[in-house]
Amino acid sequence: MSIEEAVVYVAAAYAVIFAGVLGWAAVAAHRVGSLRRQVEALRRAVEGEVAHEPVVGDLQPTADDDS
Amino acid sequence: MRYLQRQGPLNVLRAAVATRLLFVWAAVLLAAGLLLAFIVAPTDASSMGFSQKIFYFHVSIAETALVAYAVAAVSALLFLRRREARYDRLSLAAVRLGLLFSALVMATGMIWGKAAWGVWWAWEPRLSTFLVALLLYGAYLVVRAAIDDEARRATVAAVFSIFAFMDVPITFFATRFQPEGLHPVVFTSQGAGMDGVMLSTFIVCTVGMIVLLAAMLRLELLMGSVSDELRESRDVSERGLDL
Repeated sequence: MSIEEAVVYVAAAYAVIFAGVLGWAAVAAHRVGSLRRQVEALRRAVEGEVAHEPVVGDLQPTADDDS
Repeated sequence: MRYLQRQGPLNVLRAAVATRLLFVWAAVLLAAGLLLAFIVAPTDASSMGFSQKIFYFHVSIAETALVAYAVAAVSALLFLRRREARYDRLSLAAVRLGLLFSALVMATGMIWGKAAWGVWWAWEPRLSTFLVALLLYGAYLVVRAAIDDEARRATVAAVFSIFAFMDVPITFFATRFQPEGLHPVVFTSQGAGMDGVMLSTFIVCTVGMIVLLAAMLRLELLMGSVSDELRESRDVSERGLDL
């Protein structure tokens, strides 16, 4: 087989390898981005809950407390 | 959140930095392997000629796929022994990556087969046993997807992973059991059937691929554990309990 013929096969083989690795990298980057957004959303939700939680000292007795 | 609290932001950061370093090492080694393969290593004197350049990455990827399956089997054994979810996650990540590397081996092997033997596929021992491994580990993912109960899924998957691993040594030694097959036996007890530069190039490529596998595994594990913790936190939140 001549070098000119072999180059096509070699290039195809290495292109497949690069495509495979880059494809995995793209999927991994997408998953990392998605996880990051979910962690941020959860963090904001938790911080929001903490901010709205009443402080014990601020509670005023109500009529229900006596019952 | 609980993941971040339990692991500590510093530990998560360290894990991320270590993973990045592994990716950098893999990139350096594989770039060096490419340079060595195409610039330093001589063109093969046999009838394969220039197409032999496929060998350096094709065989490295094949060995890395087998390493991934070995990692999957060992972590499956550890899961059955200790019942810790992290071993199930590791086993799953190793199988997924093993399948990726196997698919690359099959594709590059077919291209090289066409160049060297004139056919895209031949039912010879190495190719056939590698195809069986690919199908077995593909079935592993199907089996996992078919079981809803987490504990049962992890146990069945671990047993399946160990069963599937039985094909790996058969694949590795296939050319030695039947040396008359199309695949040449390069590494024998008498040494490597190639000169020093070619062997060095092959070693650099193989080490680079295994470091790449380690980096991918670390990232998959990191993503898997964050994803599990997020799901757990959401479940707790939906049940109205404190995070």
